[in-house]
Amino acid sequence: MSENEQLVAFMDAIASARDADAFDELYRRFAPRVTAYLLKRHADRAVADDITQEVMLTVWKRAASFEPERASVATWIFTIARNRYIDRIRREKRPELDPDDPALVGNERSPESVLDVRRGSARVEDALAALPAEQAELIRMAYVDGKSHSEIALERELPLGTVKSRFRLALDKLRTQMDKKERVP
Amino acid sequence: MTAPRHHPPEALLVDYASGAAPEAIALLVATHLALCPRCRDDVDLLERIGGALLEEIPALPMAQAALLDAKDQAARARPHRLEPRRPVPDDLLMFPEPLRAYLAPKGEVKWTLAMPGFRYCELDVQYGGVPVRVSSLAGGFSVPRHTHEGLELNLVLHGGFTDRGDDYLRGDVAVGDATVTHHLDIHRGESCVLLAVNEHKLVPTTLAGRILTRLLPM
Repeated sequence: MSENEQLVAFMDAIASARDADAFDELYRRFAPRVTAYLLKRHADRAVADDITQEVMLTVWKRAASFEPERASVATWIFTIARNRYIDRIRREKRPELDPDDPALVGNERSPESVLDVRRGSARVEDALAALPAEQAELIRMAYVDGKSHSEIALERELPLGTVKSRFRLALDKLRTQMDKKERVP
Repeated sequence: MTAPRHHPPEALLVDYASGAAPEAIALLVATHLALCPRCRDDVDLLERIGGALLEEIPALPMAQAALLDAKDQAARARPHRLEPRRPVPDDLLMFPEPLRAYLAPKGEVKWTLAMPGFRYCELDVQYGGVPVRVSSLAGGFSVPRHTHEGLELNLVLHGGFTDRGDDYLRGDVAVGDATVTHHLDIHRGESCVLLAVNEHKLVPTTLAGRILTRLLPM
């Protein structure tokens, strides 16, 4: 069972049985990381702790709406933390795609991509580890520090075009790595 | 509906996924996503990067009290009840969420008539101090030649226009900035409805354009 599949089992236990031990497991694994993530975005520790509790409580309350085919557990928790940060610290609304909107256009996911999501982040992590340092750094500045392309260009004293192409290269590499079919043993 | 051929720049998709995007940009990107399965796949991948990075952040030491407090709150919390969906009136299906909530919070759009052939609705969100708006332009209308002081993003919701030889239809995103001087030819036969996110006011480059923009809130 992959790490994500284990986490999905915890989510299921929470959703179907309000399983406190399963929540315990998720809390220990993610709460300290959500706090660290929020601190990198300049929240002070007390605020970060507060928001972390809100995030973990949301995980508990909304467990039934988590869909394993759509995202890994880590990705889902990341999006909750990201949105809470925007709401509580930036004090802005977070416009989001509504997957159940009747006006939505397009197909359901392909079966391959469903399998891929369930396997979780391992391939993404490997792919990230394989990036050249300067590209990995940009990715971290965007996601962990929450910096836009323009802010990164300013901070690193790089032309915006350079930031864009480094991102392009990094994302192309990540896509290629993640698209690789697993070798059949 | 055919799939969109003009998408938001990758930088904006990354900013949307990472959370760095300002509200107006996130609104335009998310609305485009509702119409574009390809970009949804892209953003899924971009969000997965966020998930992977969250997992690898070094964990901060956490007080045992925090876990106990969380469990306590969880035990007392009611599970989230999904609100029953209100049906969407036919005339609002043109506007996917999240735009629909901004545009018609009470179930209908309040248009302001700027001049014959051009009406708009300002949304409760700004970009660079300029309110984001949805515009409806009559078929055949020609938006005067102009350039921009900052970023200009237009998402087509209905009808279409031609810009420097390229056609933009429902779901397409047109990007303009200070390097671009152009005019927009609205296709004849149906009105063109656009979500417009402009960093600054448009800069008209012809006399007719300057007169028009003085008369209109452009």
